[in-house]
Amino acid sequence: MDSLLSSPGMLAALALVLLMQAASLLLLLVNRQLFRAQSGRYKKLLADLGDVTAWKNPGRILFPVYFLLTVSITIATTTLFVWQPHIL
Amino acid sequence: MPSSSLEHGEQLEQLCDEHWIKYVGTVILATLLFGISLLLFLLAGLSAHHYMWLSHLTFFAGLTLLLFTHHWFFMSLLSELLDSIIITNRRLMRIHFRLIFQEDILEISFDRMKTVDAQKHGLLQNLLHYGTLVFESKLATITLVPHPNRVAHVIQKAMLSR
Repeated sequence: MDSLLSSPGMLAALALVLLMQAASLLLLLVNRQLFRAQSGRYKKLLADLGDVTAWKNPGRILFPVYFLLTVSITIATTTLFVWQPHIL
Repeated sequence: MPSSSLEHGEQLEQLCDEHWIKYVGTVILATLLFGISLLLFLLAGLSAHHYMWLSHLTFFAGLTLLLFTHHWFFMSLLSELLDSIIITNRRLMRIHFRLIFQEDILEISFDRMKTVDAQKHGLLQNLLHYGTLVFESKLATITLVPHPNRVAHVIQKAMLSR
C-alpha cells in the first residue's frame, strides 16, 4: 500500500481510479432518477386508462440488484488497486 | 407519453411486454465483455510483480470495460423492461424507451386500421411463440409480440366494437 503514495504517477493513478468510481456511483444515481421519472409517467398512463394494477414495476427487483452490484464493484476494484495482490 | 390524448370511454384491453428473446443479445454481449474485463484483471494480477506498467495499464483497461459494461447492461435492461404493447378499445400503443437516448411511441388507431395480420416466421419464432403484427398490409408493424395470434384476436375484437 505504501507504493501508492511513492510517486506522483501513482498518486495520479489512485486519483483516476477514485474518479472513475465516483463517476460510476453518480451514473447509478442518474439512472435511478431517469428510470423513476420514466416509470412514473408510464404508471400515470396506465392509471389514466383505469388499470394501474396491470403493470408491476420491474425496477423494484432490478434496482436493488443494480445498486448492490455497483457498490460491490466499487469496493472490490478499489481494494484491488490499493492492495495490488500479486498472483505470480 | 400519450396520456394527454385519451379519448372519452377509452379503456385498457390488454397490456403485454415484448418477448424475452430481445434480452438474449444483450446478455450474451454483456457476458462476453465481463469475461474480457475479468481476463484483463487477471493479467494485471499476473504482471503486477514483474511488469508494473503493464499491470496498471491492464487494470485501468479492465476497470473501464467493467464499469462501462455494468452500467450499459443495467441501462439496457431498465429501458427494455419499460417497452410494452398497450391495447385499448380505441388504439394500440407500442412504447419503446432507451432512457434519455430514445423514446418511440407508435400509436395505431382502430379508426384508421381495419385489418391486422399475425405472423410467425422461422423455427425460432414458432418454437418460442413470438412474432409480428402487421397492420393494413405493412402500413405499420410491431415486432417481438408474444403469442401474436392471441394479441391479434384481442385487437380484432376491439376493431369490430368501434
